[in-house]
Amino acid sequence: MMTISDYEITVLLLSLKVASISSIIAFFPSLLIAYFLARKNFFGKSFVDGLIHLPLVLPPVVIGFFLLIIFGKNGLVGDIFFSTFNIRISFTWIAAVIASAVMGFPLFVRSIRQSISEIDPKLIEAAQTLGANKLKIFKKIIFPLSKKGIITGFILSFSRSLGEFGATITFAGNIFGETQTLPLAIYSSLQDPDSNLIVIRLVGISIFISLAALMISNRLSK
Amino acid sequence: MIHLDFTYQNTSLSMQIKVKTKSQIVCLYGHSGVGKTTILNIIAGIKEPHHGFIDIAGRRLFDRNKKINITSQYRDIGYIFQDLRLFSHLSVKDNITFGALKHNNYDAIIDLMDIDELLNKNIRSLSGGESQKVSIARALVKNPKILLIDESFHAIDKQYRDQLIKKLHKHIIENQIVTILVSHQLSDAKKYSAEIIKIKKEKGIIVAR
Repeated sequence: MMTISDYEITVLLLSLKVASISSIIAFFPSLLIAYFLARKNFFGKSFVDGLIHLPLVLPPVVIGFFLLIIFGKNGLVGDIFFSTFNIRISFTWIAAVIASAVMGFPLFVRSIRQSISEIDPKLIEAAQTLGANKLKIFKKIIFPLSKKGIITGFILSFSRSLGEFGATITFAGNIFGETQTLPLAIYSSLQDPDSNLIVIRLVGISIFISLAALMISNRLSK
Repeated sequence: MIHLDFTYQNTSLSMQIKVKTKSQIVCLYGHSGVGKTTILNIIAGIKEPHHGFIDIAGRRLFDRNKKINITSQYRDIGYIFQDLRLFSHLSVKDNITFGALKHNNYDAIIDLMDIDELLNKNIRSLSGGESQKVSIARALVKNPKILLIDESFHAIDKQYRDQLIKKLHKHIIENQIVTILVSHQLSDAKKYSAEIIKIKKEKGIIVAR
């Protein structure tokens, strides 16, 4: 029987932790922004829309570079965290979470936005005439009717995180047990000619996790 | 008293109706496309006039000059939509109690509409007639001061439809609900003993007679 090594367990658990936390963190901002983009018209909407979608079109290394400028030890936000709380963000697992959240964010927003856009505005008008305020309309109409988009968005963000490489290696590094997620572990093993078997096993684990995530997504969004 | 005087998308309407105290019901009667539903949507606060004001039952709901615009939520309106607009992801009971903070009227309305057995059902499993009864119950359960009915009884068979109109009429009178009914069937309006207002559109102006 094939067993999974300690090395593989460490990499796998870290990948799942980073993917889960980054998707959970991205959930509320994604929902909020998707709601505003789907239902409101405001000054600068196209700019906000473009900004959110930047991680989809920019090379991930560029996103990692921007994150370093913002959250690096001497960065705009990173400096405050380091000097005030003595917390370093870059090159830690938190950096891997931030990189994943940023890279998965546009996928999350797009998916929820699509679902909210498909809600018949007449239902919202009906809810208004029944005396419902905006919060109740959001909780009872918009949120439940966007459930499919939310689940799909979560899984897309989660899967994106599992495959995230460029932004993570730039901003979080490739530190075993701290920031070395599955793609980074595969990359490291590829550098070693004696690690072909490990590469194949890690690739297998990646495929298995991604397929499982997609199957769960399909089942939940039915 | 219902007093409407507004302009919406290049169409003007000026209408002043004294509602008979006994019937409480006004029927806007006219062909399709003359703007009957638009009038209801403006009264409900779903659409906003560009100019003018809306007075119903002693309340000014909208006045462009005085910058009054009570939102739909606070207009105390029950609206029975032509296309029903039930929330298909909620049960019948959750649809009916959706907007009501106090369900004082709940039991009476369930009895009135005879929908006790439907309460735990899914909206998607209802027949056309059952859906219409649920939409009427939903509009009445919060005991609105103004009731808007938009040609809502077409899916109910004739025999039950007459019974339903009779019951609804009684409820409207007992609870003194100012009711505006939109219909293109004069027979329905007569069953309600309504004040009938014929609506026509002439040169961009909705004419009410």
